[in-house]
Amino acid sequence: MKALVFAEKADHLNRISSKLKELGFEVHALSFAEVNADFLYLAGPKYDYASITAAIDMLSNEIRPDLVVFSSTKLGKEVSSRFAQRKNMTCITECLDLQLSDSSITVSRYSLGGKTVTKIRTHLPAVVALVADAIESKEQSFQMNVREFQIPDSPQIRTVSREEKRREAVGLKEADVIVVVGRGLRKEEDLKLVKELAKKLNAEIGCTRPLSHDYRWLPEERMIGLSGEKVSPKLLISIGVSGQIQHAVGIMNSKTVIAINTDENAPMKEHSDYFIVGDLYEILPELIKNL
Amino acid sequence: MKIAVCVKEIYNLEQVKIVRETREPILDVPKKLDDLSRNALEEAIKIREKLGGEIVAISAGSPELRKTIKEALAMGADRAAIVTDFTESSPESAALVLSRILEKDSYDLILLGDASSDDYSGQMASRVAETLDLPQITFVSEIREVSDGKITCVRDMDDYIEVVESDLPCVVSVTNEINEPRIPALKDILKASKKPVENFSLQDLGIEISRSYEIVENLAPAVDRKQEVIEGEAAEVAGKIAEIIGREV
Repeated sequence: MKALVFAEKADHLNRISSKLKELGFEVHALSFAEVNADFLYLAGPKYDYASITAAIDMLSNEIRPDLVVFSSTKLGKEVSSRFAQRKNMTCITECLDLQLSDSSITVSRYSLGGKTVTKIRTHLPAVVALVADAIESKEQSFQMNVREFQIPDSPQIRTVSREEKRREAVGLKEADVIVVVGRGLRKEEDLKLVKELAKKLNAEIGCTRPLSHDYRWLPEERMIGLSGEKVSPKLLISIGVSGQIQHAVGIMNSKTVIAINTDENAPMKEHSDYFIVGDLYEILPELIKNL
Repeated sequence: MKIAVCVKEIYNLEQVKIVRETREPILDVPKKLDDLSRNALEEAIKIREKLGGEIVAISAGSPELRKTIKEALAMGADRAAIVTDFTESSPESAALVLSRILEKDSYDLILLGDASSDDYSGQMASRVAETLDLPQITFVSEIREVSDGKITCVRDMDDYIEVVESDLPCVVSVTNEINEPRIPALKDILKASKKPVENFSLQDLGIEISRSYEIVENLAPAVDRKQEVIEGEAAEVAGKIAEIIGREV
Protein backbone atom coordinates (compact mmCIF):
# COMPACT_ATOMS: atom_id res chain seq x y z
CA MET A 1 0.00 0.00 0.00
CA LYS A 2 1.29 3.44 -0.91
CA ALA A 3 0.39 6.81 0.57
CA LEU A 4 1.19 10.20 -0.93
CA VAL A 5 1.24 12.98 1.64
CA PHE A 6 1.60 16.75 1.50
CA ALA A 7 1.74 19.27 4.33
CA GLU A 8 3.22 22.75 4.24
CA LYS A 9 4.46 22.35 7.82
CA ALA A 10 7.29 19.92 8.56
CA ASP A 11 6.01 18.94 12.02
CA HIS A 12 2.59 18.09 10.59
CA LEU A 13 4.22 16.02 7.88
CA ASN A 14 6.36 14.07 10.33
CA ARG A 15 3.38 13.19 12.51
CA ILE A 16 1.30 12.09 9.54
CA SER A 17 4.19 10.13 7.98
CA SER A 18 4.71 8.20 11.22
CA LYS A 19 1.03 7.37 11.44
CA LEU A 20 0.93 6.15 7.83
CA LYS A 21 4.08 4.08 8.33
CA GLU A 22 2.60 2.57 11.49
CA LEU A 23 -0.41 1.48 9.42
CA GLY A 24 1.93 -0.20 6.94
CA PHE A 25 1.96 2.31 4.10
CA GLU A 26 4.99 3.07 1.96
CA VAL A 27 5.16 6.83 2.55
CA HIS A 28 5.76 9.25 -0.33
CA ALA A 29 5.94 12.86 0.85
CA LEU A 30 5.95 16.15 -1.02
CA SER A 31 7.62 18.62 1.33
CA PHE A 32 9.27 22.03 1.56
CA ALA A 33 11.68 20.71 4.22
CA GLU A 34 13.58 17.53 5.10
CA VAL A 35 11.03 15.28 6.75
CA ASN A 36 10.62 11.58 7.43
CA ALA A 37 9.45 9.56 4.44
CA ASP A 38 10.33 6.51 2.42
CA PHE A 39 10.36 8.65 -0.71
CA LEU A 40 10.78 12.36 -0.16
CA TYR A 41 10.05 14.82 -2.98
CA LEU A 42 11.81 17.92 -1.78
CA ALA A 43 10.50 21.14 -3.31
CA GLY A 44 10.84 24.89 -2.89
CA PRO A 45 7.91 26.35 -0.94
CA LYS A 46 4.76 27.35 -2.82
CA TYR A 47 1.47 28.37 -1.29
CA ASP A 48 -0.96 28.67 -4.17
CA TYR A 49 -3.55 25.95 -4.48
CA ALA A 50 -3.28 25.57 -8.24
CA SER A 51 0.44 24.82 -8.34
CA ILE A 52 0.27 22.43 -5.37
CA THR A 53 -2.77 20.65 -6.80
CA ALA A 54 -0.92 20.24 -10.10
CA ALA A 55 2.12 18.86 -8.26
CA ILE A 56 0.04 16.34 -6.28
CA ASP A 57 -1.70 15.36 -9.50
CA MET A 58 1.65 14.74 -11.24
CA LEU A 59 3.05 12.73 -8.34
CA SER A 60 -0.12 10.73 -7.92
CA ASN A 61 -0.08 9.78 -11.61
CA GLU A 62 3.48 8.58 -11.16
CA ILE A 63 3.16 6.84 -7.77
CA ARG A 64 -0.45 5.57 -8.00
CA PRO A 65 -1.07 5.91 -4.27
CA ASP A 66 -3.88 4.08 -2.46
CA LEU A 67 -4.33 7.02 -0.13
CA VAL A 68 -3.58 10.72 -0.59
CA VAL A 69 -3.18 12.55 2.70
CA PHE A 70 -3.06 16.24 3.63
CA SER A 71 -2.79 18.15 6.86
CA SER A 72 -6.20 19.67 7.58
CA THR A 73 -4.96 23.26 7.53
CA LYS A 74 -6.80 25.84 5.44
CA LEU A 75 -4.35 25.30 2.57
CA GLY A 76 -4.58 21.53 3.06
CA LYS A 77 -8.35 21.61 2.91
CA GLU A 78 -8.52 23.71 -0.24
CA VAL A 79 -5.93 21.62 -2.07
CA SER A 80 -7.27 18.23 -0.93
CA SER A 81 -10.79 18.98 -2.10
CA ARG A 82 -9.69 20.54 -5.39
CA PHE A 83 -7.51 17.49 -6.08
CA ALA A 84 -10.27 15.06 -5.04
CA GLN A 85 -12.74 16.72 -7.37
CA ARG A 86 -10.25 16.53 -10.24
CA LYS A 87 -9.90 12.79 -9.62
CA ASN A 88 -13.58 12.29 -8.87
CA MET A 89 -12.71 10.95 -5.43
CA THR A 90 -14.07 11.11 -1.93
CA CYS A 91 -12.32 13.51 0.41
CA ILE A 92 -12.83 13.61 4.13
CA THR A 93 -11.37 16.61 5.94
CA GLU A 94 -10.84 17.42 9.63
CA CYS A 95 -10.13 13.77 10.49
CA LEU A 96 -9.14 13.14 14.10
CA ASP A 97 -7.78 9.64 13.52
CA LEU A 98 -7.17 7.10 10.78
CA GLN A 99 -7.56 3.32 10.75
CA LEU A 100 -6.91 0.88 7.96
CA SER A 101 -8.54 -2.48 7.39
CA ASP A 102 -8.18 -4.45 4.17
CA SER A 103 -8.89 -2.02 1.37
CA SER A 104 -10.86 0.53 3.35
CA ILE A 105 -10.08 3.24 5.87
CA THR A 106 -12.12 4.48 8.81
CA VAL A 107 -11.80 8.03 10.12
CA SER A 108 -13.52 10.03 12.87
CA ARG A 109 -14.52 13.66 12.64
CA TYR A 110 -16.86 16.01 14.44
CA SER A 111 -20.23 16.66 12.92
CA LEU A 112 -23.43 18.57 13.82
CA GLY A 113 -21.22 21.47 14.86
CA GLY A 114 -19.31 19.31 17.33
CA LYS A 115 -22.31 17.68 18.98
CA THR A 116 -21.34 14.27 17.66
CA VAL A 117 -18.32 12.37 16.40
CA THR A 118 -18.95 10.54 13.15
CA LYS A 119 -17.04 7.44 12.14
CA ILE A 120 -16.81 7.19 8.36
CA ARG A 121 -15.61 4.23 6.32
CA THR A 122 -14.56 4.55 2.71
CA HIS A 123 -12.86 2.36 0.15
CA LEU A 124 -9.41 3.07 -1.15
CA PRO A 125 -8.28 4.96 -3.12
CA ALA A 126 -9.35 8.00 -1.14
CA VAL A 127 -8.25 11.47 -0.05
CA VAL A 128 -8.18 12.55 3.59
CA ALA A 129 -7.06 15.65 5.48
CA LEU A 130 -5.91 14.90 9.02
CA VAL A 131 -5.84 17.26 12.00
CA ALA A 132 -2.12 16.78 12.64
CA ASP A 133 -2.30 17.75 16.32
CA ALA A 134 -4.89 15.06 17.00
CA ILE A 135 -2.91 12.25 15.38
CA GLU A 136 -1.03 10.04 17.80
CA SER A 137 1.87 8.04 16.43
CA LYS A 138 5.14 6.51 17.51
CA GLU A 139 8.50 7.13 15.88
CA GLN A 140 9.10 4.97 12.82
CA SER A 141 12.06 4.24 10.59
CA PHE A 142 11.92 5.23 6.95
CA GLN A 143 13.84 4.44 3.76
CA MET A 144 14.62 8.13 3.20
CA ASN A 145 15.08 8.20 -0.57
CA VAL A 146 15.33 11.90 -1.38
CA ARG A 147 14.61 13.47 -4.75
CA GLU A 148 14.50 17.12 -5.73
CA PHE A 149 11.11 18.05 -7.12
CA GLN A 150 10.01 21.11 -9.04
CA ILE A 151 6.44 22.18 -8.28
CA PRO A 152 5.05 23.47 -11.59
CA ASP A 153 4.52 27.22 -11.35
CA SER A 154 0.90 27.43 -12.45
CA PRO A 155 -1.04 29.80 -10.19
CA GLN A 156 -4.57 30.74 -11.21
CA ILE A 157 -4.72 33.83 -9.01
CA ARG A 158 -2.15 36.55 -8.32
CA THR A 159 -0.64 37.06 -4.88
CA VAL A 160 -0.32 40.78 -4.13
CA SER A 161 1.18 40.37 -0.66
CA ARG A 162 1.62 37.80 2.06
CA GLU A 163 2.32 38.64 5.67
CA GLU A 164 3.05 36.17 8.45
CA LYS A 165 0.67 36.52 11.38
CA ARG A 166 2.39 37.73 14.49
CA ARG A 167 2.18 34.80 16.85
CA GLU A 168 2.40 34.95 20.56
CA ALA A 169 3.98 31.80 21.98
CA VAL A 170 1.09 30.29 23.85
CA GLY A 171 1.49 27.16 25.92
CA LEU A 172 -2.18 26.15 26.08
CA LYS A 173 -1.48 22.55 25.08
CA GLU A 174 1.08 21.95 27.83
CA ALA A 175 -0.61 24.04 30.55
CA ASP A 176 -1.65 22.37 33.82
CA VAL A 177 -4.09 25.15 34.62
CA ILE A 178 -6.09 27.19 32.12
CA VAL A 179 -8.42 30.11 32.75
CA VAL A 180 -10.93 30.47 29.91
CA VAL A 181 -12.90 33.64 29.42
CA GLY A 182 -16.06 34.11 27.38
CA ARG A 183 -18.62 36.70 26.45
CA GLY A 184 -19.68 37.15 30.07
CA LEU A 185 -16.81 39.63 30.22
CA ARG A 186 -18.32 43.05 29.52
CA LYS A 187 -15.35 45.00 28.25
CA GLU A 188 -11.74 44.60 27.21
CA GLU A 189 -10.36 46.43 30.27
CA ASP A 190 -11.92 43.78 32.48
CA LEU A 191 -9.42 41.27 31.11
CA LYS A 192 -7.09 42.50 33.83
CA LEU A 193 -9.24 40.70 36.38
CA VAL A 194 -8.80 37.45 34.43
CA LYS A 195 -5.08 38.08 33.99
CA GLU A 196 -4.69 38.63 37.71
CA LEU A 197 -6.38 35.31 38.46
CA ALA A 198 -4.28 33.52 35.85
CA LYS A 199 -1.12 34.96 37.32
CA LYS A 200 -2.02 33.76 40.82
CA LEU A 201 -2.63 30.26 39.48
CA ASN A 202 0.32 30.26 37.08
CA ALA A 203 -2.28 29.55 34.42
CA GLU A 204 -2.52 30.15 30.68
CA ILE A 205 -5.44 32.22 29.40
CA GLY A 206 -7.77 30.82 26.76
CA CYS A 207 -10.95 32.24 25.29
CA THR A 208 -14.02 31.54 23.18
CA ARG A 209 -14.22 32.51 19.52
CA PRO A 210 -16.05 35.86 19.82
CA LEU A 211 -13.31 37.26 22.09
CA SER A 212 -10.49 36.43 19.69
CA HIS A 213 -12.16 36.63 16.29
CA ASP A 214 -14.94 39.23 16.68
CA TYR A 215 -13.78 41.57 19.47
CA ARG A 216 -10.06 40.87 18.98
CA TRP A 217 -9.42 41.25 22.72
CA LEU A 218 -7.13 38.22 22.74
CA PRO A 219 -4.97 36.70 19.97
CA GLU A 220 -6.43 33.92 17.81
CA GLU A 221 -3.99 31.35 19.18
CA ARG A 222 -5.77 31.56 22.54
CA MET A 223 -9.10 30.43 21.11
CA ILE A 224 -10.27 27.06 22.42
CA GLY A 225 -12.81 25.02 20.49
CA LEU A 226 -13.66 23.10 17.36
CA SER A 227 -11.82 25.54 15.10
CA GLY A 228 -9.12 26.37 17.65
CA GLU A 229 -7.06 24.62 20.31
CA LYS A 230 -8.11 21.43 22.05
CA VAL A 231 -6.69 21.41 25.57
CA SER A 232 -6.20 18.88 28.36
CA PRO A 233 -5.17 20.65 31.59
CA LYS A 234 -5.51 19.26 35.11
CA LEU A 235 -7.75 22.17 35.96
CA LEU A 236 -9.74 24.47 33.74
CA ILE A 237 -11.59 27.47 35.15
CA SER A 238 -14.22 28.76 32.75
CA ILE A 239 -15.43 32.31 33.32
CA GLY A 240 -18.52 33.77 31.68
CA VAL A 241 -18.59 31.05 29.02
CA SER A 242 -22.04 29.94 27.86
CA GLY A 243 -20.72 26.53 26.77
CA GLN A 244 -21.76 26.30 23.11
CA ILE A 245 -20.72 22.91 21.79
CA GLN A 246 -18.24 24.44 19.31
CA HIS A 247 -16.28 25.64 22.32
CA ALA A 248 -16.98 22.70 24.63
CA VAL A 249 -15.32 20.16 22.33
CA GLY A 250 -12.05 21.97 22.98
CA ILE A 251 -12.15 21.43 26.74
CA MET A 252 -13.48 17.86 26.89
CA ASN A 253 -10.15 16.33 27.83
CA SER A 254 -9.66 18.57 30.87
CA LYS A 255 -9.43 16.65 34.14
CA THR A 256 -11.48 19.01 36.31
CA VAL A 257 -13.63 21.88 35.09
CA ILE A 258 -14.89 24.72 37.28
CA ALA A 259 -17.29 27.17 35.61
CA ILE A 260 -18.62 30.51 36.79
CA ASN A 261 -21.77 31.71 35.06
CA THR A 262 -24.71 33.96 35.93
CA ASP A 263 -27.13 31.73 34.01
CA GLU A 264 -27.96 28.58 35.94
CA ASN A 265 -29.27 26.99 32.73
CA ALA A 266 -26.17 27.70 30.62
CA PRO A 267 -25.08 24.67 28.53
CA MET A 268 -21.70 25.05 30.27
CA LYS A 269 -23.21 23.28 33.26
CA GLU A 270 -23.06 19.84 31.70
CA HIS A 271 -19.41 20.38 30.84
CA SER A 272 -18.51 21.33 34.41
CA ASP A 273 -17.57 19.38 37.52
CA TYR A 274 -18.29 22.44 39.65
CA PHE A 275 -20.79 24.93 38.28
CA ILE A 276 -20.85 28.19 40.18
CA VAL A 277 -23.97 30.28 39.66
CA GLY A 278 -22.91 33.87 40.20
CA ASP A 279 -21.49 37.11 38.87
CA LEU A 280 -17.85 36.92 37.82
CA TYR A 281 -17.45 40.59 38.79
CA GLU A 282 -18.32 39.75 42.39
CA ILE A 283 -16.65 36.37 42.65
CA LEU A 284 -13.29 36.94 40.92
CA PRO A 285 -12.05 39.74 43.23
CA GLU A 286 -12.94 37.59 46.25
CA LEU A 287 -11.31 34.53 44.71
CA ILE A 288 -8.10 36.41 43.92
CA LYS A 289 -7.98 37.52 47.58
CA ASN A 290 -8.38 33.89 48.65
CA LEU A 291 -5.50 32.50 46.62
CA MET B 1 -22.62 42.09 -12.02
CA LYS B 2 -24.33 38.72 -11.86
CA ILE B 3 -23.63 36.93 -8.59
CA ALA B 4 -24.51 33.38 -7.58
CA VAL B 5 -24.48 32.58 -3.87
CA CYS B 6 -24.42 28.88 -3.00
CA VAL B 7 -26.26 28.47 0.28
CA LYS B 8 -26.87 25.45 2.50
CA GLU B 9 -29.73 24.43 4.74
CA ILE B 10 -28.61 22.74 7.95
CA TYR B 11 -30.33 21.41 11.05
CA ASN B 12 -30.97 24.06 13.65
CA LEU B 13 -28.08 22.77 15.73
CA GLU B 14 -29.15 24.53 18.91
CA GLN B 15 -32.27 22.37 18.91
CA VAL B 16 -30.50 19.05 18.31
CA LYS B 17 -30.73 17.05 21.52
CA ILE B 18 -28.78 13.94 22.45
CA VAL B 19 -30.40 10.77 23.84
CA ARG B 20 -28.63 10.36 27.16
CA GLU B 21 -28.53 6.55 27.20
CA THR B 22 -27.51 5.89 23.60
CA ARG B 23 -25.68 9.21 22.91
CA GLU B 24 -27.50 9.39 19.57
CA PRO B 25 -28.58 12.77 18.18
CA ILE B 26 -32.28 13.48 17.66
CA LEU B 27 -32.50 15.05 14.22
CA ASP B 28 -36.21 15.70 14.22
CA VAL B 29 -35.67 19.47 14.30
CA PRO B 30 -36.39 22.26 11.80
CA LYS B 31 -33.79 23.32 9.27
CA LYS B 32 -32.43 26.78 8.72
CA LEU B 33 -30.08 28.68 6.45
CA ASP B 34 -26.50 28.19 7.63
CA ASP B 35 -24.80 31.19 9.24
CA LEU B 36 -21.90 31.13 6.78
CA SER B 37 -24.32 31.16 3.86
CA ARG B 38 -25.67 34.39 5.35
CA ASN B 39 -22.16 35.85 5.42
CA ALA B 40 -21.78 35.03 1.72
CA LEU B 41 -25.18 36.54 0.91
CA GLU B 42 -24.36 39.70 2.83
CA GLU B 43 -21.18 40.20 0.78
CA ALA B 44 -23.17 39.68 -2.42
CA ILE B 45 -25.72 42.30 -1.33
CA LYS B 46 -22.96 44.81 -0.56
CA ILE B 47 -21.48 44.30 -4.02
CA ARG B 48 -24.90 44.73 -5.65
CA GLU B 49 -25.47 47.92 -3.67
CA LYS B 50 -22.29 49.34 -5.19
CA LEU B 51 -22.29 47.91 -8.69
CA GLY B 52 -25.89 46.88 -9.32
CA GLY B 53 -26.83 43.55 -10.84
CA GLU B 54 -28.54 40.39 -9.78
CA ILE B 55 -28.10 37.85 -6.96
CA VAL B 56 -29.23 34.26 -7.46
CA ALA B 57 -29.35 31.94 -4.44
CA ILE B 58 -28.43 28.38 -5.38
CA SER B 59 -28.92 25.37 -3.18
CA ALA B 60 -29.45 21.61 -3.03
CA GLY B 61 -31.30 19.97 -0.18
CA SER B 62 -34.42 18.31 1.17
CA PRO B 63 -38.04 19.24 0.27
CA GLU B 64 -37.87 21.57 3.30
CA LEU B 65 -35.47 23.74 1.29
CA ARG B 66 -38.48 25.28 -0.48
CA LYS B 67 -39.17 26.98 2.84
CA THR B 68 -35.56 27.53 3.96
CA ILE B 69 -34.59 29.25 0.70
CA LYS B 70 -37.06 32.04 1.55
CA GLU B 71 -34.60 33.15 4.22
CA ALA B 72 -32.09 33.87 1.45
CA LEU B 73 -34.73 35.67 -0.62
CA ALA B 74 -35.78 37.71 2.39
CA MET B 75 -32.19 38.73 3.05
CA GLY B 76 -31.89 40.07 -0.48
CA ALA B 77 -31.37 37.43 -3.17
CA ASP B 78 -33.40 38.37 -6.28
CA ARG B 79 -34.31 34.81 -7.16
CA ALA B 80 -33.36 31.24 -6.42
CA ALA B 81 -32.53 28.04 -8.30
CA ILE B 82 -32.75 24.93 -6.15
CA VAL B 83 -32.89 21.14 -6.10
CA THR B 84 -35.12 19.69 -3.40
CA ASP B 85 -34.73 15.94 -3.81
CA PHE B 86 -31.10 15.91 -2.71
CA THR B 87 -30.90 14.16 0.61
CA GLU B 88 -27.62 12.27 0.21
CA SER B 89 -25.20 15.00 1.05
CA SER B 90 -21.64 13.99 0.27
CA PRO B 91 -19.40 16.94 -0.70
CA GLU B 92 -18.69 15.49 -4.14
CA SER B 93 -22.35 15.00 -5.02
CA ALA B 94 -23.32 18.40 -3.61
CA ALA B 95 -20.60 20.04 -5.71
CA LEU B 96 -21.87 18.26 -8.80
CA VAL B 97 -25.48 19.36 -8.22
CA LEU B 98 -24.52 22.98 -7.50
CA SER B 99 -22.24 23.08 -10.54
CA ARG B 100 -24.99 21.77 -12.83
CA ILE B 101 -27.33 24.52 -11.63
CA LEU B 102 -24.58 27.13 -11.99
CA GLU B 103 -23.88 26.02 -15.56
CA LYS B 104 -27.41 26.95 -16.57
CA ASP B 105 -26.47 30.62 -16.40
CA SER B 106 -23.30 32.66 -16.61
CA TYR B 107 -22.08 34.37 -13.45
CA ASP B 108 -19.35 36.92 -12.82
CA LEU B 109 -18.88 35.80 -9.25
CA ILE B 110 -19.82 32.71 -7.23
CA LEU B 111 -19.84 33.23 -3.48
CA LEU B 112 -20.15 30.72 -0.64
CA GLY B 113 -19.26 30.21 3.00
CA ASP B 114 -15.82 28.73 3.64
CA ALA B 115 -17.50 25.77 5.36
CA SER B 116 -20.88 25.00 6.87
CA SER B 117 -21.50 25.17 10.61
CA ASP B 118 -22.61 21.52 10.83
CA ASP B 119 -19.87 19.52 9.08
CA TYR B 120 -17.14 22.10 8.81
CA SER B 121 -15.79 20.17 5.84
CA GLY B 122 -14.81 23.21 3.78
CA GLN B 123 -14.69 21.54 0.37
CA MET B 124 -17.44 23.20 -1.64
CA ALA B 125 -15.56 26.23 -3.04
CA SER B 126 -12.68 24.09 -4.32
CA ARG B 127 -14.95 21.40 -5.71
CA VAL B 128 -17.30 23.80 -7.50
CA ALA B 129 -14.37 25.82 -8.87
CA GLU B 130 -12.66 22.66 -10.13
CA THR B 131 -15.86 21.36 -11.75
CA LEU B 132 -16.48 24.66 -13.52
CA ASP B 133 -12.77 25.12 -14.28
CA LEU B 134 -12.67 28.49 -12.49
CA PRO B 135 -10.11 30.09 -10.17
CA GLN B 136 -10.92 30.14 -6.45
CA ILE B 137 -10.17 32.46 -3.54
CA THR B 138 -10.95 30.73 -0.26
CA PHE B 139 -11.09 31.87 3.40
CA VAL B 140 -11.72 35.49 2.45
CA SER B 141 -12.02 37.89 5.40
CA GLU B 142 -12.41 41.01 3.25
CA ILE B 143 -13.40 41.67 -0.33
CA ARG B 144 -11.34 44.76 -1.08
CA GLU B 145 -12.43 45.56 -4.57
CA VAL B 146 -14.64 44.21 -7.28
CA SER B 147 -14.48 45.94 -10.62
CA ASP B 148 -15.07 45.03 -14.20
CA GLY B 149 -13.46 41.70 -14.63
CA LYS B 150 -11.33 41.67 -11.46
CA ILE B 151 -11.62 40.95 -7.72
CA THR B 152 -9.17 41.65 -4.91
CA CYS B 153 -9.53 39.83 -1.58
CA VAL B 154 -7.81 39.44 1.77
CA ARG B 155 -7.41 35.80 2.83
CA ASP B 156 -7.17 34.81 6.47
CA MET B 157 -5.01 31.67 6.48
CA ASP B 158 -3.64 29.66 9.44
CA ASP B 159 -0.32 31.46 9.75
CA TYR B 160 -0.48 34.29 7.26
CA ILE B 161 -2.68 36.99 5.79
CA GLU B 162 -2.64 37.19 2.05
CA VAL B 163 -3.91 39.73 -0.48
CA VAL B 164 -4.75 38.12 -3.80
CA GLU B 165 -6.46 39.12 -7.00
CA SER B 166 -8.19 37.14 -9.67
CA ASP B 167 -9.91 37.68 -12.94
CA LEU B 168 -13.65 37.15 -12.97
CA PRO B 169 -15.47 34.83 -13.11
CA CYS B 170 -14.15 33.40 -9.89
CA VAL B 171 -15.32 31.33 -6.90
CA VAL B 172 -14.91 33.08 -3.53
CA SER B 173 -15.51 31.56 -0.09
CA VAL B 174 -15.87 33.86 2.91
CA THR B 175 -15.17 33.48 6.62
CA ASN B 176 -17.65 33.91 9.43
CA GLU B 177 -15.94 37.16 10.47
CA ILE B 178 -16.19 38.99 7.13
CA ASN B 179 -19.42 40.80 8.04
CA GLU B 180 -22.49 40.92 10.24
CA PRO B 181 -25.32 39.57 8.06
CA ARG B 182 -28.43 41.77 7.97
CA ILE B 183 -31.65 40.60 9.57
CA PRO B 184 -34.56 40.89 7.14
CA ALA B 185 -37.41 43.21 8.09
CA LEU B 186 -41.00 41.97 8.02
CA LYS B 187 -41.63 43.62 4.63
CA ASP B 188 -38.61 41.78 3.19
CA ILE B 189 -39.95 38.50 4.50
CA LEU B 190 -43.34 39.21 2.90
CA LYS B 191 -41.69 40.17 -0.39
CA ALA B 192 -39.62 36.98 -0.38
CA SER B 193 -42.57 34.73 -1.16
CA LYS B 194 -43.18 36.64 -4.39
CA LYS B 195 -39.65 36.19 -5.69
CA PRO B 196 -39.12 33.51 -8.38
CA VAL B 197 -37.78 30.11 -7.36
CA GLU B 198 -36.75 27.60 -10.02
CA ASN B 199 -37.02 24.09 -8.65
CA PHE B 200 -35.07 21.34 -10.44
CA SER B 201 -35.00 17.63 -9.73
CA LEU B 202 -31.83 15.54 -9.87
CA GLN B 203 -33.32 13.91 -12.93
CA ASP B 204 -33.71 17.31 -14.65
CA LEU B 205 -30.01 17.86 -14.10
CA GLY B 206 -29.13 14.35 -15.26
CA ILE B 207 -27.47 13.43 -12.00
CA GLU B 208 -27.50 10.07 -10.30
CA ILE B 209 -26.18 10.13 -6.77
CA SER B 210 -24.03 7.29 -5.55
CA ARG B 211 -22.53 7.30 -2.12
CA SER B 212 -18.82 6.74 -1.83
CA TYR B 213 -18.61 6.25 1.91
CA GLU B 214 -20.51 4.81 4.79
CA ILE B 215 -21.35 6.32 8.17
CA VAL B 216 -20.41 3.64 10.69
CA GLU B 217 -21.42 5.57 13.78
CA ASN B 218 -22.59 9.04 14.78
CA LEU B 219 -22.61 9.54 18.55
CA ALA B 220 -22.09 12.34 21.02
CA PRO B 221 -18.78 12.04 22.86
CA ALA B 222 -19.23 10.70 26.39
CA VAL B 223 -19.16 13.63 28.80
CA ASP B 224 -19.13 12.59 32.39
CA ARG B 225 -18.86 15.66 34.58
CA LYS B 226 -19.96 15.89 38.22
CA GLN B 227 -22.11 18.96 37.54
CA GLU B 228 -22.12 19.98 41.20
CA VAL B 229 -23.90 23.33 41.50
CA ILE B 230 -22.52 25.89 43.94
CA GLU B 231 -24.50 29.02 44.86
CA GLY B 232 -24.27 31.67 47.55
CA GLU B 233 -22.59 34.90 48.61
CA ALA B 234 -19.55 35.86 46.55
CA ALA B 235 -17.10 35.60 49.48
CA GLU B 236 -18.40 32.20 50.53
CA VAL B 237 -18.42 30.85 46.96
CA ALA B 238 -14.91 32.19 46.37
CA GLY B 239 -13.74 30.29 49.45
CA LYS B 240 -15.19 27.07 48.10
CA ILE B 241 -13.57 27.58 44.69
CA ALA B 242 -10.20 28.23 46.35
CA GLU B 243 -10.63 24.97 48.25
CA ILE B 244 -11.33 23.01 45.05
CA ILE B 245 -8.37 24.64 43.31
CA GLY B 246 -6.18 23.67 46.28
CA ARG B 247 -7.26 20.06 45.91
CA GLU B 248 -6.79 19.89 42.13
CA VAL B 249 -3.48 21.68 41.62
